[in-house]
Amino acid sequence: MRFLFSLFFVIIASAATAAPIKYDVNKDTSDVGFIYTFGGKDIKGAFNDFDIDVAIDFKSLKNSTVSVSLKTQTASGGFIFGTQAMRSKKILSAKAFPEITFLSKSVTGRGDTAQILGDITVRGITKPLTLTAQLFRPKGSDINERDNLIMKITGTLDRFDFGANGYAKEVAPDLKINIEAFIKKQ
Amino acid sequence: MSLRNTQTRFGLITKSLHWIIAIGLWALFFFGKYISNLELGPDNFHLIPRHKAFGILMLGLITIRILWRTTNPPPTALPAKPFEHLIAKLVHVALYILMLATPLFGWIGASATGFSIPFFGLFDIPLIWGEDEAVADLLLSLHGYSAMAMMALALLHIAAALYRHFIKRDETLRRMIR
Ligand code: HEM
Ligand code: HEM
Repeated sequence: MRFLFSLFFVIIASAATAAPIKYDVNKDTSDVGFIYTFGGKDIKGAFNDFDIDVAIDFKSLKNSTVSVSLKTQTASGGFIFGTQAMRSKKILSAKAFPEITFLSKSVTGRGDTAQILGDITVRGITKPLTLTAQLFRPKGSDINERDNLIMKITGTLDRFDFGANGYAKEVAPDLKINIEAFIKKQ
Repeated sequence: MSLRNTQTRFGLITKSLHWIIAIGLWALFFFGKYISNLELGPDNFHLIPRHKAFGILMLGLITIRILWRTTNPPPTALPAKPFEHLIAKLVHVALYILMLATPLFGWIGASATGFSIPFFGLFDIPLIWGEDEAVADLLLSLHGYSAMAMMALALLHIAAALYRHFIKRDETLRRMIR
């Protein structure tokens, strides 16, 4: 692991700022990954281009917002044919639907994790989705560090909900979302 | 031994192509049946591009064989009843047609899946059809049927060759070997 944990509630408790802080995402170090099951084995895929906007209100978490846009034509399935399958019409149909978007509607915190309820749009179909977020400090940083943080977002998605149902015999419907975003105060 | 066919004998090139392609087609047939019944996963999916690459290689050899034959007619057929000549002729023509159609259907169908067709990691074979699930499904099932028809005719063809060799005891099979 490239960083040390710092629990969410620690940051929240020690925060002094009132307004949400806006963050930029470092695309080079961040990883928008997911795990899918192909023939019973877990494979890691990723989106190589994306935009993530984060605003965190450490005093009042419900004022925080997250929006994500993934460029489907940069989707990778972990190996060449997995990538081709992902971008094909039978899964993401990347030419017709160049973006996957997620917009948060409410953020609630409990302990060291936050639940982000929002709308995700895949292949033009919008459904509610709840993601789990955790914040971490970089290794060796000060306990009060808030300018540079690492946000981990996890969740599960059923691709069949969005008509991305190709290769159903080989590839399981559920995907695990695994985003590791290195965020920097604007 | 002559490279070219003569009036009475098959040349080395015709014979080599006949036997390499015969072995290759049987191998690809069983390979194809095997992969279409597999439960695909990370450990075995690479067999599909391998089938495609061998199939394209075979298509190349078949094309060379047909071109070679147009400039290089086979020796005069050995004596047989007229209807035997006719059936032999029909089966040979049908085999040539199926030898072209089978890999071509495979190539079009495989192209329409949208997956690339790497040629043994050297380069990618061009895709000759845009991504289209309906075309892929149709052409790949035609591919399977035409492969089956081809092998059924090949069995008939083999039976005729064995009949000529063991029952009629003529030179037909020996001529294709020696
Ligand atoms: C002349 C040589 C070839 C022969 C004899 C052959 C034979 C076969 C056979 C018997 C099957 C199984 C069909 C079934 O039972 O459904 C098959 C499947 C297939 N073949 Fe070929 N094939 C040849 C060339 C090619 C070529 C050139 C390509 C593509 C470039 C190709 C692509 C495929 C594909 C994609 C499948 C489906 C595999 C699957 O079910 O997932 N084949 N082939
Ligand atoms: C997939 C397998 C095979 C295919 C597609 C095939 C195809 C052909 C074709 C198209 C010809 C006609 C050559 C021409 O006149 O242009 C031919 C000739 C011949 N084949 Fe095959 N063949 C196959 C397997 C075999 C096998 C296993 C045998 C032997 C048991 C065999 C024995 C012969 C003989 C003896 C000839 C010469 C016939 C003549 O003199 O007219 N073939 N083959």
